Amino acid sequence: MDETKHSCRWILSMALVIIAVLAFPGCGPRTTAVDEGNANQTLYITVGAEPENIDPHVVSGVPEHHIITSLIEGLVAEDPRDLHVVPGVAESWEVSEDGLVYTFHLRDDAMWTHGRAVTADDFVQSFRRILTASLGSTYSYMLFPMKNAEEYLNGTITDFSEVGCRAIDDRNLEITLKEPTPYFLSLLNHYTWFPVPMDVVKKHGDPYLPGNRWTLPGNFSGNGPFKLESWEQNNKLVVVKSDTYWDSDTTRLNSIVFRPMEKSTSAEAAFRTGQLHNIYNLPQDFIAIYKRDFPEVLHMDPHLAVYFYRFNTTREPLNDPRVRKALAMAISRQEIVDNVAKAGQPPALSMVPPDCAGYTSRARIEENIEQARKLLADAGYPNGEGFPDVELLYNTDEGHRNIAEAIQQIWSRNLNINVTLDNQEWKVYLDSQRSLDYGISRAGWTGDYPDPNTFLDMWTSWSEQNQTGWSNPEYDRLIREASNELNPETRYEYFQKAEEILADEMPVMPIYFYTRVYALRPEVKGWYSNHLDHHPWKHIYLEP
Amino acid sequence: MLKFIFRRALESVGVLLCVSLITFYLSKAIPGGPFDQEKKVPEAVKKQLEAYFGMDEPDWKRYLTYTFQFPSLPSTKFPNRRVGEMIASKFPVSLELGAYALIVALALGIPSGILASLKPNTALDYVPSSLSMVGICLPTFVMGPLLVIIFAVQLRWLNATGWENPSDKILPSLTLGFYYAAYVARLTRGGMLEVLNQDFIRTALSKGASMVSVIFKHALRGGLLPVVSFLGPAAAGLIAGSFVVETVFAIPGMGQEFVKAVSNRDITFITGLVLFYASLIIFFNLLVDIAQVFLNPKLSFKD
Repeated sequence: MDETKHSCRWILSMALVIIAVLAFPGCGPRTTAVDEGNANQTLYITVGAEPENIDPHVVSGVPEHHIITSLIEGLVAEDPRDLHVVPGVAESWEVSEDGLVYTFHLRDDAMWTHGRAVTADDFVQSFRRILTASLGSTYSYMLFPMKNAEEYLNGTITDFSEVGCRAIDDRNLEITLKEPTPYFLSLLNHYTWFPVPMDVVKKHGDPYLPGNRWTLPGNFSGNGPFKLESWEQNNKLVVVKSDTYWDSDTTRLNSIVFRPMEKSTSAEAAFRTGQLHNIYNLPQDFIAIYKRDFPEVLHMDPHLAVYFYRFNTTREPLNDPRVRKALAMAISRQEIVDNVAKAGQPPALSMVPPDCAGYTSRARIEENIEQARKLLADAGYPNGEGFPDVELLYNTDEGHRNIAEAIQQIWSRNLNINVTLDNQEWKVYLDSQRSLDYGISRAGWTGDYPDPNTFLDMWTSWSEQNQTGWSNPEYDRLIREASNELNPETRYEYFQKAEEILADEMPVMPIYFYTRVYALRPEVKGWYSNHLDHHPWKHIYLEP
Repeated sequence: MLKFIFRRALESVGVLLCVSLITFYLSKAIPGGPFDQEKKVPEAVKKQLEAYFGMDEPDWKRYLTYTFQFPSLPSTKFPNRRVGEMIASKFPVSLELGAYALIVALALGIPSGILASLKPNTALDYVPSSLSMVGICLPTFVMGPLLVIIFAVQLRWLNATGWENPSDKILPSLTLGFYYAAYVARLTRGGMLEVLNQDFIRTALSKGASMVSVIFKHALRGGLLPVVSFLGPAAAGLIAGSFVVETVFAIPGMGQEFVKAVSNRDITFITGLVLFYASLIIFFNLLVDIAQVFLNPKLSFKD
């Protein structure tokens, strides 16, 4: 008995030691990262996943956008409130009458952090780099509005001087476009148009290959409001205020700590315990709780993105536009948003989000069950009889499954047809969608720039993103006309007509427009809601 | 013993070759490639990228490059990093977490296992045994967030995520350690029960040796054998990192990379990780086999 008592006492003392260790940090009030950050203007922020790279010519993601815009500045910049174009490296610019030639005048005090001035030639060399095929930039098509850019990338032109960009001298840059592109200046805010310091890039490997190591800390040089301090993969990337930046008087933060958070529930815990100033994506289950308990930190911003289903128009029965229309008309989007998606998303009755650069679609899907049934009957499936089995494909994710189940149920209720659900892992799903190996497929599209074109040119016959097997010569013509049109009203009229065709043939079924649901601590100032989720860092500051 | 180690090393080479071949063909067989993304990449660009990463080479050449040069190859997902340095920067984190977890597992598991074996089928047995059952049934993805809610969100004692301060290391180590402690406790109890019923123990006790000295001098050596053989693969698994614990606590270790590398189809990184992990397992199994010979007089290096 004595022995057992002995081991009992031993275990008890072990337990006490563990409790003591656990309790130790509990002694005294704890300052959190956020407290500390508020005191010395350090923003602790998560922008989702770990960035693949911070080389603007190699990356293609959104987290990368947030980080790169703190480190590198393009020709123009954005106003933090409504994102209208303001001077960046270029202090002014002129556009030719025909809208084809832009001349940018660069400021003399724009500097790289390694001490050299930013020149017009830096831009020319950067455009050349991203348009060099061996770099394998997946986003190089953003430069295609520039004359001969596409031809140079494809190798039909080998002399870069034929491409529409020219350094007149150190301070003056001329860009010639293929066709007038009304949204060209806002396009320049995309990181693909950003400059890189080629002298630095060359020092750390072949500048025209993706494996270059100039973006590692110690090697990196940028021209933005912040400079790279450290970057530990999967842990944190730290940028600090750059004193060589021309507008460093505006910059108020001393540093930004970007933390990758793969799991949004972990980000939520980190936010709630003062480790982060924000939650990049508030998990769906928390929306109701935050609405009730922490409304002051909850943000639900409209987002320039649409959630939709593609129809495989090469497959029975979806090759019949009446069937596609019937499917699109038979669901109630408001019901889906209210009961399933639950983040205040506006229902989508057209592809282009409302008031996209002043454009609101006229052609809208009419939600009408009677009409849908009639169309289905006309197509040869009265009351859904004989309707073949159709597969509804989505990438594995609980949110997508919930929506798919709701729509499956609504179709079965309203049209008496059955679709089967099929989920695939992300890359498998991309593969199936690309090879038209699906019936109906979930998709989402985020606008690359605030213009209806970004939602409409993807349905042309030549677009890689089409992936529905659908094409319409008249639609193609309208989109082409629109890109040649200088008058904004006539141009939007082309888009309206194109959207009528889309609504009539319905190769895709819009469901809702995304909202960005996130949390942000109230002391973060200079942060304004906008539909692109762009928040220029130099305007942000902390005021506890 | 040297001969034994040498023979095992030779065997390991064969095992590693098989593992690398299987990995190569499996990662080739999954649909989708590293450069597929939502916005379709133009064919010409994709070809360039594939050429850069040697994906246009014949199979045998690709296999040889990926298998034998992986440390110096760039990752397809994070092209400015090299596979070797990615493993080198993450493995120490997982190693540290795994070591703490192992200490927690042994410190909790062995004593409670011994305790349970002393008075089988009494409260002293039922309490630790059911606790360890709970430990096995409560997966880390429940235990982790549970500890976070109690100690970070409610009590505010510790950070919810991260791997910076010494105190950040407590919750992840406990989460991972509890899970293994449960197994260790059950294995210890089983091993001890078997040993304690044997004649030599009864002899020792009847000679007047105290229970404590009998346990530590005589019984433990045999009673811990099942734990030791469990520890080989468990230790390799622990120090290679845990996907769940690392994602829940946002720890920059190697465990989460196993899963992410596959979803990214990061072919060079996958190969590197698998070979590294396979070598770890082989190494730890070897250690266990050696330890078992020392612990178990019935075994020798000769067979």
